[in-house]
Amino acid sequence: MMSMSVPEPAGLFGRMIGPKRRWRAYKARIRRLPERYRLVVDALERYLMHFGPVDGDHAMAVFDDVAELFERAAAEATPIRDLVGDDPVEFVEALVRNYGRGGYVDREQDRLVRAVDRAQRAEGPERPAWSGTVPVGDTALYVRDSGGFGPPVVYLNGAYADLSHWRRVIAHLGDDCRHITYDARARGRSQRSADHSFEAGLGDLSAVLDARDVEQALLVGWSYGAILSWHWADRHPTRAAGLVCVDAFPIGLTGDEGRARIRALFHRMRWALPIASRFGMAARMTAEEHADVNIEINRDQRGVGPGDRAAGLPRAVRAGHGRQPRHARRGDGPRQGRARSADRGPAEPDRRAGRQQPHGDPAQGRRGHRRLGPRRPGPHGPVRPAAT
Amino acid sequence: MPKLMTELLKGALEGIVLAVLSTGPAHGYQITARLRAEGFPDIAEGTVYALLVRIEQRGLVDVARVPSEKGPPRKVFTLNDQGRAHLAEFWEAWTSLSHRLDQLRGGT
Repeated sequence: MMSMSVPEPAGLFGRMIGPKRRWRAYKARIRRLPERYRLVVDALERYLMHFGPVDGDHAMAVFDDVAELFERAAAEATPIRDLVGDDPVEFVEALVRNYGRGGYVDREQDRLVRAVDRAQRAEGPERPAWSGTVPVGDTALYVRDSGGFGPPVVYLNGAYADLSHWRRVIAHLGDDCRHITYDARARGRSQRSADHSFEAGLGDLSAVLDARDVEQALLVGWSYGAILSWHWADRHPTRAAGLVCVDAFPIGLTGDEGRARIRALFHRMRWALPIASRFGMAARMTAEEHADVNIEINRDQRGVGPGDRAAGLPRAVRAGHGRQPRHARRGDGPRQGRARSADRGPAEPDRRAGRQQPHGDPAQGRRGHRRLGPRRPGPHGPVRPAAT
Repeated sequence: MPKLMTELLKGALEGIVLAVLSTGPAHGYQITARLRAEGFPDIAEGTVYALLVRIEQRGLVDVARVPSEKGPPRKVFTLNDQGRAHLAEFWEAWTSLSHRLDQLRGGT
């Protein structure tokens, strides 16, 4: 990157006064140029104002480049034609191409690309919408598949939640994706089972995708579902197109004391669980079984994060709680490049999905969160003390 | 004719600059001077500069700032492994393109 002559102040303050200061610094550099160079820079500046980048950062990068080039030329006394060539428009366009134009131009270009993507997908086979049950072992899972032309996205619920919590996310993303949701064992409209283990949950995801004939999907997981997603991706690296993990992080409440706390908590709530299950906030399990699920996830997840797990994936986006460990907040290191290169297609929904739900309940969206957040118990409510 | 040449050069210039850098580190002015000496007299320094900004952004070169006796410090560009890989790709594409063009001319 170009080095800037003026260090940018950071934070909100920096965003407000940074560009102005940078602009002044650029203007001061230009004023020091010999007149014939300045004449050309003024004309370039005018051109860039009309046809150059539309947002501040992109624009300043180009202006700084211009200043640097002309300072060098002035020092060497380079003839002006040698500098900008026979076709100055060609020259300035080459400069602009380096940065893109930013702002609404980038947005519109993105929209154009997506429209063509969508049109291309529409040339493929359309999947019909479907809902029904998929038998697995001693149980049967309730599954909904929106069908359509888009790339498959599968949503993994919180520990005791059901698929209804994804309603707003799905509405927001619209028909750019094929949305597959399902209720886990003994949750929502799925049937009960004798096995509530994490392992069974991993198998269920495979079973659902197989039943829907989906080879590769983007996984969107919330809380327990997020943990499920990164373990599943670890075992099936070619089948996971990417991960969006909301509100999950690897801190376990373990040990005898931790287990006792979890058991006591669910025991206190035992009378409320059957009622909560009617609203997709608890499973159709006993208080003991609820506790078992929670204890298992806390035991197994201690110190295990998507940071190590998702390394081989084409795309991994993590969203969620402010208390996430630092490494889990952004795609780090070598993955970044690939994540960007594959940034069209399912990346768009996952980016938006991630931003939309900075906390808790993915179904609530931004406004909903403020309105309902504190009063409504999380669907994994009892899980909270154990921080999963 | 010179206009046509400029148009044709546009897509190849990046590869040409990488090829110049493959012979050793250089700063912007040296690269332009080399190109003029090699038979590209009309190349504008500014266009080469714009290109250097791009290949720097894409990580194809390592950049060092070297003080100069007059004016601001100079940026000296050194081709790195990624740049060499990119150059190899360029030559491959170029060979295949020129081969096809030769075929086209021979065939008519």
